Amino acid sequence: MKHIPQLLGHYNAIDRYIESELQAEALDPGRKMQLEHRQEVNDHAYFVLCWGQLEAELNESCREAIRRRGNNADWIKRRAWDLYNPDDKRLSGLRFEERVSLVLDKQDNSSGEWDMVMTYYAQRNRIAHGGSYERRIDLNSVIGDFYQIQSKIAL
Amino acid sequence: MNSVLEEVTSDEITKEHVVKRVDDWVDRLNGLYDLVANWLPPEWHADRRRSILMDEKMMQLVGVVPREIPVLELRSDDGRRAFLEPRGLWIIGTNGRVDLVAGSRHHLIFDFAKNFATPDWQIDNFFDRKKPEKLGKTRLAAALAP
Repeated sequence: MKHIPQLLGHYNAIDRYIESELQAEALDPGRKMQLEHRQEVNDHAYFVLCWGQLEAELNESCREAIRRRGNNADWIKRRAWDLYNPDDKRLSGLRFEERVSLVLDKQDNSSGEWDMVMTYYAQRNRIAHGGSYERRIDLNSVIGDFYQIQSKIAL
Repeated sequence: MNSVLEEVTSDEITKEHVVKRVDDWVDRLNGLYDLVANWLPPEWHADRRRSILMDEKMMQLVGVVPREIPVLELRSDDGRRAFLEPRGLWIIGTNGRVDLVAGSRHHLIFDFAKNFATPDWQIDNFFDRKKPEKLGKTRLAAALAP
């Protein structure tokens, strides 16, 4: 997630620029609506970019977990991990939920990270598959959730 | 549904739920304005006669009619003006946002509580986003300072 601070900086600069126009006196309703829509598109675009950073982190952690567990000399502990190839570009065809389940405990959802990552994934899919942009995303708050998810990744 | 994120990614939102959320938002706004009025420095005065129209996408999706929601206008004895204006309820990552604009200063007040829970109002500087802080008397006075 090393690019997130930079992405957030770019996002905030654009959001502030649009907001400064929105705060101008005597804005006609059409122009106001246009500016608000620009903020929504900016929110969604940077959400997807930042999501990509989290997803890459989850994928890389998944590869690392497979490598570590797959190197175990004890076959009893290693055998299930041998099913996966950490160097396969598509991680042996694992679906997103399966990849996440290798590094986050699905059954320990006491702090909500599992539900959080899955619901953000649903939101990412809605955007990527042409869903509505007509609402705001507070990216600064969302990034806090992404870091919370990252903190729970276990190799 | 505990959060805005869960609501906006759900296919099972009902009109009844949205009406309940809008009612709750108006109650929370009035509660916030009561708090702010109590925390104001002595030279500031609050007035909530102005309103704006709330007509969010979530309301349109299930046929909830637009609703007037209150704005809090603030005036100081020395002629300064500020206002608190709701900017949105269904904002992913929050449970609603209210903007506090005082001259060239602009702060964001968020509710970070779960849906229908006791509000957790926190404030952040729009021009220098950091970790939001709990909203209270001191933080409000700092946001209104010249």
